[in-house]
Amino acid sequence: MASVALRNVWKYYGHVEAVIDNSWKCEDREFFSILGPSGCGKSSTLRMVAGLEEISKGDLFFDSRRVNDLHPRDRNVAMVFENWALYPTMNVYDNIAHPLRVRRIPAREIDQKVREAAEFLGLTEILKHNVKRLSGGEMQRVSIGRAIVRDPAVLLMDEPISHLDASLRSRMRDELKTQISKLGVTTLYITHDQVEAMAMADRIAVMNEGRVQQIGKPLDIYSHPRNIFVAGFIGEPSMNFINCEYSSEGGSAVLKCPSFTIAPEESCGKSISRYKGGRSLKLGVRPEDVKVGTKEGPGSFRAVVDFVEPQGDRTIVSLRLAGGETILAQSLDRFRQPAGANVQVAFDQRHLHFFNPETGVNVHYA
Amino acid sequence: MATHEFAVSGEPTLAQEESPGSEGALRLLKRTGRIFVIVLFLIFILLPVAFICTTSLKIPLEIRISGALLPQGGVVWENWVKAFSEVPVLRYLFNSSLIAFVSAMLVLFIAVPVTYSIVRFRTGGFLLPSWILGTYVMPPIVVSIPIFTMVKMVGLTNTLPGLIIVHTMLNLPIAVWLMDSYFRAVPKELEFAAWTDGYSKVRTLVRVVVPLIKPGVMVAGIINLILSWNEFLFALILTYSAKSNTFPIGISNFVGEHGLQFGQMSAAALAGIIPIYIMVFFFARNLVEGLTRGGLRG
Amino acid sequence: MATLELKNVSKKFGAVTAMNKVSFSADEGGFFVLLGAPGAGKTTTINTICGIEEVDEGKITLGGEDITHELPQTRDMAIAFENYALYPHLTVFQNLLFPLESPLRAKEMSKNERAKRVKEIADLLSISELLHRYPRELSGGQKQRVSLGRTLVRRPKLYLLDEPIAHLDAKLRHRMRSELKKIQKEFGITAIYATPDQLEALSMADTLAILNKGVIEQVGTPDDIYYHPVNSYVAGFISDPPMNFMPALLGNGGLDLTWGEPCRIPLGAGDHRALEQKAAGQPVKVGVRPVDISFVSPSDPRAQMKGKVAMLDTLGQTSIVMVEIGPNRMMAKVDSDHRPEHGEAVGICIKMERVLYFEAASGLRIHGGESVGTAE
Repeated sequence: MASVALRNVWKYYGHVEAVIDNSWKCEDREFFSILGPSGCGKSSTLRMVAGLEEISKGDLFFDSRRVNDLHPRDRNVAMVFENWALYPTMNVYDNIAHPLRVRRIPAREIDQKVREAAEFLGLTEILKHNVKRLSGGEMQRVSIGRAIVRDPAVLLMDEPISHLDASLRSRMRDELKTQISKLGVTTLYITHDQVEAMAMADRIAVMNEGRVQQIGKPLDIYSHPRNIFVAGFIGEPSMNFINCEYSSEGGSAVLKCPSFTIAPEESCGKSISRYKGGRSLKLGVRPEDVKVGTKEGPGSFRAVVDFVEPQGDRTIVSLRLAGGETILAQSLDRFRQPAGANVQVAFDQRHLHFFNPETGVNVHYA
Repeated sequence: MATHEFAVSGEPTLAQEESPGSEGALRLLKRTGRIFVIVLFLIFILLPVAFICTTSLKIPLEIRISGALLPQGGVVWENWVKAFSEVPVLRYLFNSSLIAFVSAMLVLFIAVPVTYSIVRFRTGGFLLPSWILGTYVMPPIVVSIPIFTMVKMVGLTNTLPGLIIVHTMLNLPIAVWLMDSYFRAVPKELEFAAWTDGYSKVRTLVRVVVPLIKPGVMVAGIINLILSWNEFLFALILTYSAKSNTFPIGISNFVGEHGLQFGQMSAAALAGIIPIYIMVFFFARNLVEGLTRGGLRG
Repeated sequence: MATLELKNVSKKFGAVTAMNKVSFSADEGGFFVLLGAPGAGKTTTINTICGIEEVDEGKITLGGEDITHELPQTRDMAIAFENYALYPHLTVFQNLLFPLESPLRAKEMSKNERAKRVKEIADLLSISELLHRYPRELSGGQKQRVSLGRTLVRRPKLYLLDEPIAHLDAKLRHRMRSELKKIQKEFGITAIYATPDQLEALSMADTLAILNKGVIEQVGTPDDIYYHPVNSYVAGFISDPPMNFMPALLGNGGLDLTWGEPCRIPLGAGDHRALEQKAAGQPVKVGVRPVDISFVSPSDPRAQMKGKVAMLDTLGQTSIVMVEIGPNRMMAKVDSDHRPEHGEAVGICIKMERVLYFEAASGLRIHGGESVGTAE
């Protein structure tokens, strides 16, 4: 087992900066996820940790050892690829045994290790089956088996379940999480799907355009996003962003938006008053914190229902505000107003976020 | 917006590895070895050509008695002069070029729809592709007499069209075989979308599929050109005068009063290499790309 | 009128039955979604509607006309495939123009009108800057939009969309969903959309059909399917996390769970009578949606069962909890603020009024009166 640390790591492909000044540390035995859209640099980062790509600048440490120049085979990392890459002509046993055979480990030891791994993953019954006959879940377990049979210090996973269809994906996610927590191995998990990262990881590093945007526990990132990108990327449907103007009336902050006026609650108000960035702010509110009803209430304002999307146990409502903006609200109760209806909208004041419209940084952190 | 969340404790240590010196020497050795093998291979291929070059410049006497590479008795041009004046080499070159080009075009024109229909619509089931390949595998000499008889029956012996038709028949299977994997690599959905948009199957083949298998067509075309150019057996039995003799036949005719005129033959042979070299050099990029692409897709 | 109707369409590939007496109708101008697991027969269904595949038996009509044996060229439909299928040797502009230039359709528009239509669609899908590029120069998301553009550039009687946004990043996929729906409503053209993603199906569909191994299990609005599933397959498939099923036997005034330790769940008087009418003595499957489970302390009298939290996924506002009850597991979806700790022993509280009952053997839902087991 080992911790993995990046210190001021850069990666260039010619002139293109794929990874820009990344620093983070994944603790020993931690499930650390790197999350970001396509092209954000997460795959390049993983390949640098594996040793498949050169590190252009900066240092990579396993525990306290600098491993920039260490050959991949000496790094003791195991990698699970996006399409699992099982050897189609071999059976389960041979697939798992392969990395050991390549290292010329004696056959008896190989057999013991393979059987251990198989038992751990529940594969003992199908050891002799050819991998082409396996279900998706079984194949995933075989690919993990192949990765862990060497007792790697670090397990690297590059979007291992993103190519599966939706229902299989959530089941695989749960299985993966269970197995990895049983194993207790340091895991670096790359994905573009924030649901996966949120569900599985101990901590997440959110990346965009080569830079690390924020690192933290899932709920922390969800509740306290550092900037607009993280706020919009985490959570589905995405956070609503509304432009507003800040003014102080009688010493307390008041925010004027084209469609309504808000007096933010205590702690928020304090950060806003300390904010030095100017009068414009971007208000961020998650659809689940937008309450829609027919009756007026404290802090509520008028809006018109644009369309309603029932999604089983929740309903997404698109609302058009008086000033022309469109926001999404999420309701856990069955929402019965039709499109075009007039409704009253209120925000959950405890969960409002404010961002600097130019830099995108959350006012709390500015 | 990097967040520095930690401080690395302890002194980072360099991982143990081979010293740079020995690593570099090994690399140099590998590289030299590779170059050596390539040079050896090139010599093996080009030596005969070099020999023909020098032979064409030697005096006839020297050719008969000496096996040396370089002309010992002086450089002469009479072989070249005689070759082109005494034997209609240019006519032979023209015949071969025409036959090769026309038969290659014919082959492509027929093979493209044939291969497409076999690949996409499974025409002929399992048997048709096997038959097609089977005819190519068979040694041509086995059917030389029947083919001669057939060509004679339609009165096309000693004509260019006769040989063109025979070459087309002979080389069609290999074009089908070569283009097969290229057709298979085209995603079916491209054609489905075109059909749904209103394009007939033929139009779709021409406007959508063929542009995508161009390298395959190039490969098949070039291979056919070369096969037709080099073809000897049927050129021999179906042609007997300069009117329709092809180049390989023409070369073999360099029999003078005193036996085979190697000097002139060499000169003529070199002349014959040039057109093909030009054609292949021009298409070389397409050829290699075409062959390797087909190979990778398998 | 462009209502599409399939009547008892069947299609086999050798020994495999891809479509088994499939029947449904898609209203004109509506967004009809075919939802099913991979291999359920969605692509085959779309291909038979398009004419790429021949049906073995059955009838397909469009706007009243029988098109079962017509060639794809004359059916007046446009199709978008899962793997883009862009013409690599043409620019984006030429790709978008191609459908409009087919011999059958070329007469419908003048050259200028065609170019204008291409530009319109490019603007609508935000790909106007890419018109002179080749497909190999585009990112996955851009390629997908060009592929959709090529389908939408025509105004046929029917759009066929076979998982057209499957390979996009999660975020991009969500955005494309609503864009696609908006465009379809604007054009007013009937769309048939295939997907294995139940959330996608629920959010996009006007009408939804669940396909299972070539058989249509149920057709209805998203609400219909979610709240009134016709059998346990539909009920399990449509919710994520999937519905929990507990095997039970009807006893006096309650359900005796037949898994692991004996456990009795009391039923209200109304439920009891309704169930008894249909399921006297029969083994029953009790379907509990993850959202209808909440956690209390194990000693709380409201708890119907006790268990231990085996896994906790915090997804933001909600968390998914997997709780182990002896050898069995249940998945629950709770507010993150009220989530239990990993490993904690908890009491499980089920909203019995929202539970659904299914025959254990056939999986058919037991309609113990509509007032029971539906959200109202």
